Amino acid sequence: MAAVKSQLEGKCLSEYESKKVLREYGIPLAAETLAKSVDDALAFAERAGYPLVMKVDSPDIPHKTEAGVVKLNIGDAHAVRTAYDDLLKKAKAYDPNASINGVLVQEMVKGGTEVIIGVKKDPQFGPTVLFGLGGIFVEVMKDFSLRIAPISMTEAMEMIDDTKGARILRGVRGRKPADINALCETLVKISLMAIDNKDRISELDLNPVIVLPEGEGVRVVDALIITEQS
Amino acid sequence: MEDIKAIFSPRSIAIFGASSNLNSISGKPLRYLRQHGYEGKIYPINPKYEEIAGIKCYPDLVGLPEIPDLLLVAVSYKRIFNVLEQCTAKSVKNIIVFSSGFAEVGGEGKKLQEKAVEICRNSGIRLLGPNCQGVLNLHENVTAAFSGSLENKPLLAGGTGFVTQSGALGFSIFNLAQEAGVGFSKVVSTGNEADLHSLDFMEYMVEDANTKSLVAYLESVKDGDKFFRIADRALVLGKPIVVLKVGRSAIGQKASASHTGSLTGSDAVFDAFVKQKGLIRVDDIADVIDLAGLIEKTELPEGKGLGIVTTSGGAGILVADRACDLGLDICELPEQACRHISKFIPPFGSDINPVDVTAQVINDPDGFSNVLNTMLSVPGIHGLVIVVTMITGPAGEKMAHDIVMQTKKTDKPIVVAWTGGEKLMGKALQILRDGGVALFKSPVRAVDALGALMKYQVFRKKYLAEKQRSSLDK
Repeated sequence: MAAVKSQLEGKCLSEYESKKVLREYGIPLAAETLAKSVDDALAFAERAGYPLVMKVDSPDIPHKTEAGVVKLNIGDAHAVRTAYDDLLKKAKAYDPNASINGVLVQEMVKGGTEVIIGVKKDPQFGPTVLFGLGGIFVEVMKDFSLRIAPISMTEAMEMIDDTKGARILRGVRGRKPADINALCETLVKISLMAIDNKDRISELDLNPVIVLPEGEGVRVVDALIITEQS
Repeated sequence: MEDIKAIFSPRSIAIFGASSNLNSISGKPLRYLRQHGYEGKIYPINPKYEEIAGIKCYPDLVGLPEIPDLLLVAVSYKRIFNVLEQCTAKSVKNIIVFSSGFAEVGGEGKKLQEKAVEICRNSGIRLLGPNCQGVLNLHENVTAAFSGSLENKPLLAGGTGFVTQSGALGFSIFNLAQEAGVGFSKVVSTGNEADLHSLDFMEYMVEDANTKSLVAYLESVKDGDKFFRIADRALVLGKPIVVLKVGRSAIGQKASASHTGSLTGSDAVFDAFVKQKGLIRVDDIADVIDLAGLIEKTELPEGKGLGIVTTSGGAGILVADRACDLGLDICELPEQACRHISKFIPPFGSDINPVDVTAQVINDPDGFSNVLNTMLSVPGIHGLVIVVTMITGPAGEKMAHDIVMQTKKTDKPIVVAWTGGEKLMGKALQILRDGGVALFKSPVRAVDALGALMKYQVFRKKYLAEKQRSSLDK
């Protein structure tokens, strides 16, 4: 697949822009729309149903939770209206100069296991793919595995099994096993995307990606691309 | 790769700044070349002498009667530009610079090195070093180096190709390995890698018919893509790459920058590479020597099925524990094999894998041999670990002979740890060494080395199968 040129200029891409790149590679995303108005947001809510997540989409606010521009569990049309105005206000207060694309309205993915997928470029070996379970696993326990892109399905499976968290994905204490096959496919696609765009993408952070039970696939919930400084 | 070929197999070698003191850094290369039987032409260059050790000495490079295939530079860094000027005038294409005072000292040295490289590029000169100890080609008696390890004579030629970014440590590994009976094909110390770097030499060695395995001491990797290609070729050809990569810690990385002027990359990324290409990464020089020695002496195992034979139940457990940690298969023996083995061992022994023949196995002169033979004929066993404890005197020597005989008969690798001292076991150990048996200092080291090759081969088969599948898909 050809590299995606147009969006990849500047330092950080907003979540929506980042996901556009992922979409080109058939990487499964949580259903969402970029609302430019309250009406846009409501129209999506009507189609997708509740509950929803809303977050401000801006390349200048890469860490949305810290900035307080994410709202979870939005349960009805009234909450959509309130959240829309509230989030934009918060974004302005956080960074008055931030360029704001709109408000991202997203299905709230239920169930499943949260994982992190990352891409980082190594000066000698090129793009590498990181995988680990979300929450404390990667950050506190350092339970992650790394491979140099591109990777095959076999290598994706091995890299998952390299982590201690793999046992959780395989199903413990009566939990259904997660859709590891779909996770492997996603890792492979991300590694290919990383190779195609190695001159443009310096880092990619998908956190979280939700791995649903076997047969139900995975959904990328949040995405951040940092582009190469030229 | 013509340049690398000229460096490893030069028909003539000139030594810029050759000294008549044959024990100095600039005098040793000439002495070593002669001592180890280099057959090409040698041209010492130094205006101070008419001749050195009976060899005509030239005042400058330009006055040489031919263009030397290889020039060794043993003069101070201050004279590098003069040397390069003469190289350009004489059309010398390959030089090895022993001198230090370049990038490894930082600042001015770094600039000096950059300028030297620029001149080389413009004049089509390939440079190895600076700040390196040179190259060896043991099959062609080329010893273009000044390391004290070359005082040993004869040097053992063999199948280990060795690339080292540290000259001093590298050649001491070379020396230890040589004295442990490991033969080498080619050795190169790459120093600052201003121009030619480790991977250029590994790329050459992987295709070299005399090289059966590659060993590398690395602080940094210059070109990840190139290393991928080399590792892929090595897997196709079945030449394991054993790598001692240092600079895991922050302090180690800092030390590396001032050592050979290299910046180490992320260790986690290197580990990923190791996993993806089946390299054997080791932590110490003892492991390097263990593995290089084993690869020299045996065929690669076909799988990870391990047979264990000991004269001590304790040793059997020790080996089994380690083998399990490594993920090897300690396969169950077929009933018939157990029955056969039980004939030669007392009831307090063990006829299941790990087999404990006990010290009483010596009561039947053919007992030990029969047990080994039975184990080796089990299809699920791809390699054997033998641990012998305090079997002294003629009984021990008989067992050593039995092991030598079985080693010669089988394609399956056999590793031996004889856990007794040289004073009591010297004779038996010598029988093993003379018989080409892979002998280890401890049971764990024996199973570590064999286990690494087993896992390598399992990985390799899977890798090649997948490679073939994906090429069929295309």
